[in-house]
Amino acid sequence: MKTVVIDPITRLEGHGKITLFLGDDGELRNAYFQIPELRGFEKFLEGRPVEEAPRIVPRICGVCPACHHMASGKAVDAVYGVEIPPTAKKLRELFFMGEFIHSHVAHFYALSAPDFVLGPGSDKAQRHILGIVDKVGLEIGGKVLTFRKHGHEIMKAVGGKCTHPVYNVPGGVSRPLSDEQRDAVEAMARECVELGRFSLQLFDDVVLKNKAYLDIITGPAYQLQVHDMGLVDDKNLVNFYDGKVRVTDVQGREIVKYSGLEYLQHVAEHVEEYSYLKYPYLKKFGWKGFVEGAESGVYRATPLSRLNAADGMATPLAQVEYRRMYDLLGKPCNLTLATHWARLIELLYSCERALELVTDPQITDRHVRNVPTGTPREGVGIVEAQRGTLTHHYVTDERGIIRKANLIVGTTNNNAPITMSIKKAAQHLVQKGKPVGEDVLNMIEMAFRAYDPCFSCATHSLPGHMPMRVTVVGADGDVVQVLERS
Amino acid sequence: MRIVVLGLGNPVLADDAVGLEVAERVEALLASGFAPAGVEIEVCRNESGGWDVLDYVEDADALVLVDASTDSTLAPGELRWYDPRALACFTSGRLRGVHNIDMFTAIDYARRMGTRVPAAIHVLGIGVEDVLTLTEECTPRVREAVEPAARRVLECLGRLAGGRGAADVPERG
Repeated sequence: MKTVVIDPITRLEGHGKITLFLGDDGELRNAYFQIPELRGFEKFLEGRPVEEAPRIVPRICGVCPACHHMASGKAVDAVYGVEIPPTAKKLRELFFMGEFIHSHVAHFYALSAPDFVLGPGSDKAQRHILGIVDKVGLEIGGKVLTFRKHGHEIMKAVGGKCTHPVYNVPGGVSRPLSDEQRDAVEAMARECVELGRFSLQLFDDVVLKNKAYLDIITGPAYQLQVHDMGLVDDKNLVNFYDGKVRVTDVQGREIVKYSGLEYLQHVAEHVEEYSYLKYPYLKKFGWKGFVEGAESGVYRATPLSRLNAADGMATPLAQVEYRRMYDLLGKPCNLTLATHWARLIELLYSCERALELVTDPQITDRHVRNVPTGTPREGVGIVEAQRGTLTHHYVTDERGIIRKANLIVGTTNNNAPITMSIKKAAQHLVQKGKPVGEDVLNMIEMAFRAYDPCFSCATHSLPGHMPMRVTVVGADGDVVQVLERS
Repeated sequence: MRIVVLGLGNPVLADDAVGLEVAERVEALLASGFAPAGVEIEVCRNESGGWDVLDYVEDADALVLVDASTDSTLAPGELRWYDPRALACFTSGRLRGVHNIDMFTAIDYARRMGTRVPAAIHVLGIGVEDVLTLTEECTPRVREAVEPAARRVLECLGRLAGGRGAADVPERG
């Protein structure tokens, strides 16, 4: 047995690794995506006042803090049984759109685009965002910088702080939006809509019009038939902040739609001893292992899953793009790399939705909080994080002290599908008897990168770098190949 | 001249918080009259690096970054100035996580886009013992390093200000 270990993930976002097990004949036997790092946030929350939770949980992650802030804020409202004012709900969603813009821009341009703009097998020394600028020019590079900044500036203008927000309070938000702030956000949102359209045009020009790339996207290495999950509104259209969780099967038929505490009836978590990260599955089918198909309990919760699980987008330009994608790829779409396309459609939706919200006449209303008066008890908050459905569940005593917390985060939903996608890519890409080259490693990583996974902890200690190291160990235990990514 | 002091860290992850604590102490010392003359100094704290650093460094002439260091050659609480060019060599130019690019690449990227970013970057690392336990407390040796680290930052600020009024900070207590 040979073992190939891919260890590409630094402590910046937690620590994980990919292990590929090869047989003596050189064929891939198995693949595992492992998270060896401690995750103890649920315990950390116990014994703390529940109103502190929305300020603590963003520390789980330095990349999607607002998602935890939102899910936690909603859970706290539910704990107190308080309905927030309509304007507070709109402001929370507006703030949230800022994070979607920032995160999706960063993922597409910095992490996904190098594989397509420069090519998956291109020189690794150039395969990064600076290499993209060299290829596409400074003007586009400047647009990316503006786009990213607008996402953060929208969050700051609305909520005062973006990385680890202190905006949600029980029953609403901490401050209303001034006329001046509204005008600034509106100007940025208008520009973002144009940048969102530009991003889809770029994807069209660079990826979809390139037959070789389209072949990779639609090829067998990156297909996975599992169920899909995503939050939808009352018309079954994609919504990131509110609605019901809809799960559809491999043929696109609705399996279930649930909200709040009902999640316990539909989702359970399987544990493997080699990873702290659990494997959620649909109770209806049960855990049947890492298997695809209609009878498997495995589901995905990604941008592509959200679009698969919905009947459309709630904003006009994004809806046009939604139809265009499914006209070409069919629905439901099980092509893992199409997640990048779906992410860009979501990006455009976020920009349009931000503009809708900030131009709503009610957005500057001063009534942004209903102070809770009920006895705290138990509550669930569900939102869509950029990388999957995010559920926070708190149980408190009558004083509001957290006695139990359960979090199902975006990447946790995708733990099993990521493992399966890596295995599938490796099975198609690792060739018997041939050394595993850097290009192959990158293409295996592409299966994993499409999920935009997140592994906890906003740690970023210096030097903050752990190079990707691949070690191939022969059946006799000797190292036969070492590859390092610097 | 505008100088940004940026402390990075996660406040609930043991020694990882030390960069934030040093920044807080630097801010207190500057407010107590130990600021070098002739320069504008802004002290910031943030919980993430990568792209987010750009939110702080635009239009600054110099950046002094303070962060916990997992450098295995450093003892807990030991201080080290890093050459940012050497740190940049550690990076892939692509990412140091799966979400984000590293802060040096982000700054380089912004510079190439014509954004005015610091020409001088000074990086102070503090050796750590534990950055995996969820707690709001640093370990004792790292906690003891907060004061000397803050003084090292003040010395650096004094040098950046051209030696104008790099105040001698009296020992505490």
